[in-house]
Amino acid sequence: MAGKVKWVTDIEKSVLVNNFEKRGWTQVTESEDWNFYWMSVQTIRNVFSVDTGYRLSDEQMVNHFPNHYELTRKDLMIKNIKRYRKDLEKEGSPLAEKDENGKYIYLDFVPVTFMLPADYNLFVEEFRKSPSNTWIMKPCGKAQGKGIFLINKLSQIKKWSRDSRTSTFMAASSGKEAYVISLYIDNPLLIGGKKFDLRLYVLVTTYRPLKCYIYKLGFCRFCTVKYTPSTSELDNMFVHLTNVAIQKHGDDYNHIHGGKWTVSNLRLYLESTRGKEVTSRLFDQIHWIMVQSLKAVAPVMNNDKHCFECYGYDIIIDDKLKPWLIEVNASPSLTSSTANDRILKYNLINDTLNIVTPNAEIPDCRWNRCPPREALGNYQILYDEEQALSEGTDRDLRSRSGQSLGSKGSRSSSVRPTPATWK
Amino acid sequence: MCWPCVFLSRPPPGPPAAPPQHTKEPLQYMRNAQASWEKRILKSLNSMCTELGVPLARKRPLPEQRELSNKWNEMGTDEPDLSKFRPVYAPKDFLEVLVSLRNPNLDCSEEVSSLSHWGLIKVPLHVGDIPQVREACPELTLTSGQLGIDDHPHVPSGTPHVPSGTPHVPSGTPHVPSGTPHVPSDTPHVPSGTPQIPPTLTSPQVPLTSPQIPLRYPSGTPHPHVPSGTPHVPSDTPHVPSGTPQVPLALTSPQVPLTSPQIPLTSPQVPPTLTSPQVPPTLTSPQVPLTCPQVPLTSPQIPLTSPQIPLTLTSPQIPLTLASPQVPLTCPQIPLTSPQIPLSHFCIAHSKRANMPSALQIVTNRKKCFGRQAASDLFESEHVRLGRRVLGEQDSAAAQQYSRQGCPTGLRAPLWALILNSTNDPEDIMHYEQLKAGVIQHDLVVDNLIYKDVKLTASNDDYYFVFEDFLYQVLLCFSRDTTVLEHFNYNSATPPKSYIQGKAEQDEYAVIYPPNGVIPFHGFSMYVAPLCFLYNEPCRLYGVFREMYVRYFFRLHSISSHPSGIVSLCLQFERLLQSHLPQLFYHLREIGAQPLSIAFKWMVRAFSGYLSTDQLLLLWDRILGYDSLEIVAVLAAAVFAFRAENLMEVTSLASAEAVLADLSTLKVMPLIQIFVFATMI
Repeated sequence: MAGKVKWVTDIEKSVLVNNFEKRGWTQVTESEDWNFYWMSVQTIRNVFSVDTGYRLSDEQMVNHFPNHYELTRKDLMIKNIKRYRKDLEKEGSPLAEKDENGKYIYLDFVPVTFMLPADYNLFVEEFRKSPSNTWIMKPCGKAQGKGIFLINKLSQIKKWSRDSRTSTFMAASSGKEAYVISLYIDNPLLIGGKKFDLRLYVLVTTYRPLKCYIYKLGFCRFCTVKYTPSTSELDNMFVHLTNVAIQKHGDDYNHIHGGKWTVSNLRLYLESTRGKEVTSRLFDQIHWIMVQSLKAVAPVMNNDKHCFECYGYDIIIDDKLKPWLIEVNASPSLTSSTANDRILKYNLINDTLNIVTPNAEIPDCRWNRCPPREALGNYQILYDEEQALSEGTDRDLRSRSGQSLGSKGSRSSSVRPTPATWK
Repeated sequence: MCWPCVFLSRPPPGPPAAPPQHTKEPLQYMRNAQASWEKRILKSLNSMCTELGVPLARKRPLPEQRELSNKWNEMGTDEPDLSKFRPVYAPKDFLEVLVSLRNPNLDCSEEVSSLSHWGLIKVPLHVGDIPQVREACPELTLTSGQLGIDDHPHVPSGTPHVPSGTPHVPSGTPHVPSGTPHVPSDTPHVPSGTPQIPPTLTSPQVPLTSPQIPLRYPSGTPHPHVPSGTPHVPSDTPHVPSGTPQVPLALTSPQVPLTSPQIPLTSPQVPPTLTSPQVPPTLTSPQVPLTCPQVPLTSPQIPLTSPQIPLTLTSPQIPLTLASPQVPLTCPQIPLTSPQIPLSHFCIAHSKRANMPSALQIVTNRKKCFGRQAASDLFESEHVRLGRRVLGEQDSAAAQQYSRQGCPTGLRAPLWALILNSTNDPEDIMHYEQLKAGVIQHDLVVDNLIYKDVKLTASNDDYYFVFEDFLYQVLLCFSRDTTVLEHFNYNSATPPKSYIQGKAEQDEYAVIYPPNGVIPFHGFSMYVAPLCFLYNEPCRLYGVFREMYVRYFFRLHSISSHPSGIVSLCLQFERLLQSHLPQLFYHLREIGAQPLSIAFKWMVRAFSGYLSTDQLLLLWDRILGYDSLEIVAVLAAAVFAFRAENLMEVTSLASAEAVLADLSTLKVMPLIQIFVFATMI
């Protein structure tokens, strides 16, 4: 091994530091020569900004892509997915097929969403189609449930309409004030009467070709309060938001389990109560969503060779067992709320490092990005574009997309019947 | 009626019918012990009520009824002040009572009895040893197909937590989860000639420690009076009806012949032939080489131990200490190493094939690479198919037989309901609604005990907290269900009576309280919690739970001589451990860590709350399948066997408890299989 890896982080979390120390790496400061920098999204902005002109050497690696926000900012993600769908449609790809109601059959995986104030008029049009719907307002640039509220009357968002009329330009440029408004999933799957969402981790080592991995040990986050779709409770965020950052302040928050349930519990519950096939189909669809969202941003992503990224995917399942992509986080919380949480996150970082810094040696950004299977730990390959393309004979994308990762027996009952082709 | 008529109507000579209390429990000292235990619980409950000044039951005023009715689905959010309520008893109080049980006809002068039985349970009951368990559970052999053997790709153990006491799991090997001994079930792939196997078998610690055990014992008089297995004739019951509790594992259930035609469908012979490309045909019966090497190893010990204690040679322990201890100690390691052989082996062979490439993923179907996996996949799909047929025919007995090999996750809920004859008809729904109305109308003190218990157990549990509200909806109704009283016909317990105010001790004013006759104890709600994974309608959940309770769970907290009763389970656990892991038992006893003091809490809950849910359900499959709780005692012993190496190193009760603190990574079926079928006897 050629010398010790020198690491820096601006996120002082024990799950990170312990992992670095376990590998015998040396801590240095930002101003020194470093090999591995686990940084916050604020820092990455500076590292790659035009002004600072930082140039990374071959032996340096960072945990974000320069423009990760194409995926992780709520408005940009929607924009990219919309563009991706249109592109596929233009190409005449069967993936962009629509049903009789004009909905995408395979690409309808984000709730109907508009930017505010930019799309205000479009939103009003949609709102008037079914005025009884509830919508959820989220500030584009904030995380952990901050600034989120629900509305079911146009009057509640007058403010954004005014902005829109006076100066669209100004509102669009001052990104912080921008909001996305999405159709609220008001029929979520409830377990024990409680609402939950899924937090799953996806590691991307390169966007072109796309290579991504899904972490097997995700979890469900439960609301502590019984779910009620009644509009009288619109103000009670404990009912609607599953973010731990929000739930932690509820009276019923339990510090032993933290309202978290493992994905394996979810699978066991769903298989037991709904059957194995529908459960496998659900998880297949979740994997499908992840791959499609990544493919949607791949063309615009700055595929810098020094970068990798571990995303936190937030997914909500509705009562028809259809998964919806809510958002993607670039810096999934590394704070541990419970003992099991700590173990999970420690292992997540450990397995991530095993993949991106093979043998814990000094990184070489030109690495082949083909980790041996033993190094994957709890990761599973989600999609490997290189390998998929090399298997040109098998062009039946959709029957394959219906397959789960390692699922048994459900292959014959593929979800998506019509054949499709890779582009 | 004139008495000659009576005489005529009676069947000629024959034995007289057993009095009803004998069908509840034939042994008088058991009945007495149960009665005084009940008195104690009731006293505790009454004194708590007096102390707190709350009535046992009261009608709720209308506004309160309305309020409760409105939040029926979210009772968990209600936080009544329960700080003054305490559980009426906890498992540990109950254990004390069991430990103090004595048969008055048996001379139990301590010195001598410690020789014959090292455990805490001092009553003589007939309990099955490994040969009887083998005979009772032929479906669990190493060679028959079994759900719950292979590591399932989708249900990894809930927590990746490695307990502090198990240093043997290298962190860098993610393929072998700590608690998973991959027993090859129907797996012909462990080559009989593989050099790796013998080394693990001949573990070094074997001969070194065992000779000491007999040495520590006074070579006192051989003790004739409790040879294990001698059924004791109870003092007051000259007529123990044949077929009473002493018979182990009620195996003679009528369903066996009914379903036997179907067994060939799942027969393990099928998979190997179908998957033959992967598996060289020579690789058969892995267990033979596994056990053989032991024999020469242990035989030298006989001369070592025998000279010191010639007198005890006739006592039942001797042959056991000579040959058996090391087997369970080393067995669990075999599977830890063996799967790695095929791992590398088959991966290489298959990487070229790359069959059925998939778009989302190519490499992840590594599972498919193994012949073993293929065989077990085949068993599984065949088993699922068979399960559908059983369900299609609505044959309860067939479902029970089927459950012995495990229920597939997707079919378990309807299969269990079928086995238990639990329906969800309009009458059942109406019955549940009536019970619910009862809850809303009346407030019972036991409700507080239920609240308290749920808050203390399930609400804090990683697996079950989600179902808190369902637990109230089931347990509160349960306490008001008078149909539960029927089970007291065959339960050694008697429903507790209370008296209308001011009419104490007057039988005409006695009422059974709580109405179902069951006073919940600490941990009671854990009998319901795992079922919440199967049924998402409270009514259905309720029906299945009630049936599980009146068939099985009541036995875990009533004093009786029934083979599934808690006393028998404790004794069986201790006997298994003493017979097959004498070194371990002796060591733990010496350091003041009686095995039962650790295992009791597992058994009293049938392991609920200790195992991960998927594993717990696999265990309960077998409880239903064999219509017996004995598997619980076997598993408890198997857990000790699995952790034996670590346990031999501990020097205190606390550290022994630490080694056994986290069972959530264990895979129960491999553990049971190895313990029952790979232990040398």
